[in-house]
Amino acid sequence: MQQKVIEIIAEIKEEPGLLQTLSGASDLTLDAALDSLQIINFILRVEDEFNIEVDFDTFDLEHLKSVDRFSAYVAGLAV
Amino acid sequence: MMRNAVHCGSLESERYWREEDLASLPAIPDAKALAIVQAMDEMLFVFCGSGDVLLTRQGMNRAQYDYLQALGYAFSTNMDTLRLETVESVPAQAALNIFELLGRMDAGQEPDRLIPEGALLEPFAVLPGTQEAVSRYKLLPTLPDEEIVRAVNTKSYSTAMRDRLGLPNIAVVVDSLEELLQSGQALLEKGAFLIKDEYGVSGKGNQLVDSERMLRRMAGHLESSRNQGKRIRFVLEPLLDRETDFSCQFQIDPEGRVTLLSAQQLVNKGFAFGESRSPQPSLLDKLDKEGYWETMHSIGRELHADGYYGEVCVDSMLLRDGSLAPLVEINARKSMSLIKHHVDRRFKQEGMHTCLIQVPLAAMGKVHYEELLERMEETGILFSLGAGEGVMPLTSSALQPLDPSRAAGSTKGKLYAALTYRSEDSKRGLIHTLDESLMRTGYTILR
Repeated sequence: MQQKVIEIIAEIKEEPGLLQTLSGASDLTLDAALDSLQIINFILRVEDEFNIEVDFDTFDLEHLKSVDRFSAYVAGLAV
Repeated sequence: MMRNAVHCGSLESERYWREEDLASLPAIPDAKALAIVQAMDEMLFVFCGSGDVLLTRQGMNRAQYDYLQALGYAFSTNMDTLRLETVESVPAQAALNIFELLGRMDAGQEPDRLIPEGALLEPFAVLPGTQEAVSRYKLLPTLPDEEIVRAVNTKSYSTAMRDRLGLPNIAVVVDSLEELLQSGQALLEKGAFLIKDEYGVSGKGNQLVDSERMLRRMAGHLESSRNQGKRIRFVLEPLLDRETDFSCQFQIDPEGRVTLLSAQQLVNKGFAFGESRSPQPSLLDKLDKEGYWETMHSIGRELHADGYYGEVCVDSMLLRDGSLAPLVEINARKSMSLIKHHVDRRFKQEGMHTCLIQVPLAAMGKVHYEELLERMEETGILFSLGAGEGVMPLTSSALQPLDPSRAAGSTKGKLYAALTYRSEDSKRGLIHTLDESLMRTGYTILR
């Protein structure tokens, strides 16, 4: 899942180079530099990809602290 | 008698106009982003005349103040952060706009010493609390009614204005989930469309819908808001095939006279890096020929008829097929483009180009802004009087705003700067040296 999450980030940012530079430890708002609008579009893309639904009203920004943490959050929703 | 003015404002005006019972599109609350935009009020120094007062939320950095004085700006300002002594909760304070904050401050603090009685208030926008601040500091109000300002800044007002002026109108206002789904389906048959929040701003409050699945997802999100008692009201618009975004700035005086001030073009390079610059002559020529300025005058007249006066920024678009969309939205307030215009008015030199840029940043630990100014001076890129080309930073505390959560670790910030340059080559050189200066000072560039 981690790889797919990174692919979606690179797609949203339109920066293929991120496929090489991002890792499980990368922070989504700092290392990947997703802005607030991109975060929404990123989450909506992830919802499509993993067939999950995020509750935006309760979403915790802590989930964006790393690709690994976000992947774990998504995995939790997919159960 | 010329009265001195007090300049202040909250640049995230839409946030304070928005009624609490309106349902919102998906959004992530971001306290760090709010802290940045709150610290951007420093840029209002560009409107200061000699002897005026600038009040900023965070207080201007001393080195920035000295730099601006050297450029000829002669205003006084607060150096300390404006805060309420009696409120223990920092987030509660962060939720107030600057007028609410000023209106509630105890007597005897810095603003009391700075604000001369009977001065004119020059807000970025009229917000809830503006009138209270006017009476608290005995300022002179020549300000339109807050409820009128709120109403004319909605997307549905802009939509209705197109009809009033006989302009082509492709927008639909929806007031229920059923209308959203019905109109959304109809629009999707022709292509992608945008759901616009009544008080959306660029980069926030607009959602692109390009599939039925996305439409259902948005409806699902809004349904849960509606079930919590929130009101549904959005504007739907087919996605325009845009070539260029630009805007027109004008002023309406209390008697209704409309004065056109400038037009500015917005250039998007990638996602997080936008700049505004003067429009190409070919665009200006087109605006002349197609009666664009007359449309702006008409918008001004109608706004005045509805009770608004003050500054206005109308967002417009040039489409790929060569046609103009003169009225995309009305912003009844000052604007970033007006800030750019004021810098130009003061410093524009013959044969030079100017633009306004923003650089999103992050920093670990405390970074010293004055070191950035020193580096910029050493490398010869800091704009100074008579220097020709250069970079003029417009923000200091926004580079590392006070974190409302007071969390340790990294802070996010933004540098806004005005560039004066002779050619595209020299502009690239200035930006390259600016980036290096920022990185050597300890900032990471988020671009």
